[in-house]
Amino acid sequence: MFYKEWIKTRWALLLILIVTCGYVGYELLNYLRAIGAMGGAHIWIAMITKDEPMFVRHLQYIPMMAGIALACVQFFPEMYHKCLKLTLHLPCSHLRMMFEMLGFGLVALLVCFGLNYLILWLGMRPSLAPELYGKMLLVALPWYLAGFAAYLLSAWIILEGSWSRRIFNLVVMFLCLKVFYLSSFPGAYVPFLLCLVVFVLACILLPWISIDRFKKGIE
Amino acid sequence: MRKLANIILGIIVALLVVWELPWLYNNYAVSFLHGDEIGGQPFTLYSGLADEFIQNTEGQGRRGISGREYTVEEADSLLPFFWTTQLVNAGRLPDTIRGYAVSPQLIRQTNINYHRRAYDTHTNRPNCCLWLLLESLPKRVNLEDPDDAFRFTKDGIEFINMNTGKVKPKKSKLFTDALVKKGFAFPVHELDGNPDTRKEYDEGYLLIDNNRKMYQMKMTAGQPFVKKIDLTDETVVPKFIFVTEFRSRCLRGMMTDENNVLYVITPNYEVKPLGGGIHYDPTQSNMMIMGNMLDWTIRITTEEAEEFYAVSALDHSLLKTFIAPYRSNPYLPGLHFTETLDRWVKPRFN
Repeated sequence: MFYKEWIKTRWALLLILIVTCGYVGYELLNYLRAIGAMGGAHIWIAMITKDEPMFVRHLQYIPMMAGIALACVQFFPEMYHKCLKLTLHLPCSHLRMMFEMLGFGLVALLVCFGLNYLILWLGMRPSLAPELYGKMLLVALPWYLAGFAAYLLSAWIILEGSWSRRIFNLVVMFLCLKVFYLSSFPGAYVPFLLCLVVFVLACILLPWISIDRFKKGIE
Repeated sequence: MRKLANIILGIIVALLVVWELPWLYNNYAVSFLHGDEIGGQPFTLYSGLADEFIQNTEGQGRRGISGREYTVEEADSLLPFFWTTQLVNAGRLPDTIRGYAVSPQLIRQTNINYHRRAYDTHTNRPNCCLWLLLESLPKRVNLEDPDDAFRFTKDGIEFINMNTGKVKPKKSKLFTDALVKKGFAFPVHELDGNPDTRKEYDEGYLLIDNNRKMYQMKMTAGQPFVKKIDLTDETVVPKFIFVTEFRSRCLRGMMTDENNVLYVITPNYEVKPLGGGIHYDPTQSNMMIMGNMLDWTIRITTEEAEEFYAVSALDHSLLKTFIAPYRSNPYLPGLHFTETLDRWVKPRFN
């Protein structure tokens, strides 16, 4: 199942990896250019005194879009070419197959987002105190969690057969993702991060509702 | 599994409904249905000449809390420290006010405009735990940005060179020793300072140590200046502390204790209850002080009311009080993730 998903999504994954890492690189270049032009002390002062997501601001919606894009690439063909019907006829547990498909996507996003974080950390670590680069990594964390949530909720919508239910799901998805973007104040989400992780984990089960309805032939 | 998935979806939808519906009602319907019940008090200032609070009313009118109506010109004359430019333009600024000689320059120098919002309090917001200490006796006229930042550790203070990211061991030891010498107990419990270089002078940081004792720390000609601030009443336990840095230098700062009583720290480091013990919880209330050389108007906005206190600027005694409870609360309770009082994002039901 993992191999099948890999064949289906490899080029899209490569593109997602290039785009997300490209944006991270762009932010890092901005940061290095600012240090070169104004000096490290100026950047430190700005980061200490301003409560803004400096140097990660442009990343805000990138993980979310990456999650939606991966879900589209992975699940649109299943619905469009009716592959899901064939998959569900395989002599395997349907639940296990769904978890394997979603697990592949989540692992792929984890690798991609992990690489983003690694680049950010390596780029900022040499010239910033842990308190300052920690502040930037922390502000981006809900955005990356939104990436995982967007992937799972998009899968839930795409796998749904009925259009009216898809619209309902879309509204739920929009409101759920709004929770990840309520504040860009660095560190504001710290008391809420665990709840967001639990929410993302709970979302793994939602596509099962769509698959179950699909099996029943609801379109 | 289908049942569990549906339960999860049900919970998510229920949470979204109790979040979004009250939000829609509170943001769009309340102003239509209860427009006259919401909104706080109009702009209110204490007039020492009239000995009452004067409010702006709709249009151009002014009204005293006693119910007396004033014309705009009358109100200007009764609030000469606030409407100074207007009075100067009209040639009506007196030479003396309540026996004190005044001039536009003196009024500008001694007027106070201080705001402290609940989300400024350290417990109500995330902190990166790095601070900037300015040189309070700069060689040039203006204050300058430092080239290092500092952090408090559990047994000292560390200065970090902002260009290299390396700790400055010599300066760190110098300041740690100066604090220890004065009896400072690490780690720091609470601190406040203002590293803005556009201000007129620098008072450094006001600190509360682990034993709940207060100190002032600043850098003077590169050397640490540490002053212990003693309380005359030993039963008072400081909780929050604020640097004020008013242009007139009439205060070192303010503090609140465990019972949320507000105190001022005078230029000679005396700690006195403001207005005989005004209550102010910095985590739950916003405070605004508009003052002059003779009296201050303090507005404290709590959940239940807007409280106005007039306090003498000369001896910090209470002159007048005006408590304006909110008329009603037309807002629907619901799930919220953000609040105006703090900067945290977390679920709360109110």
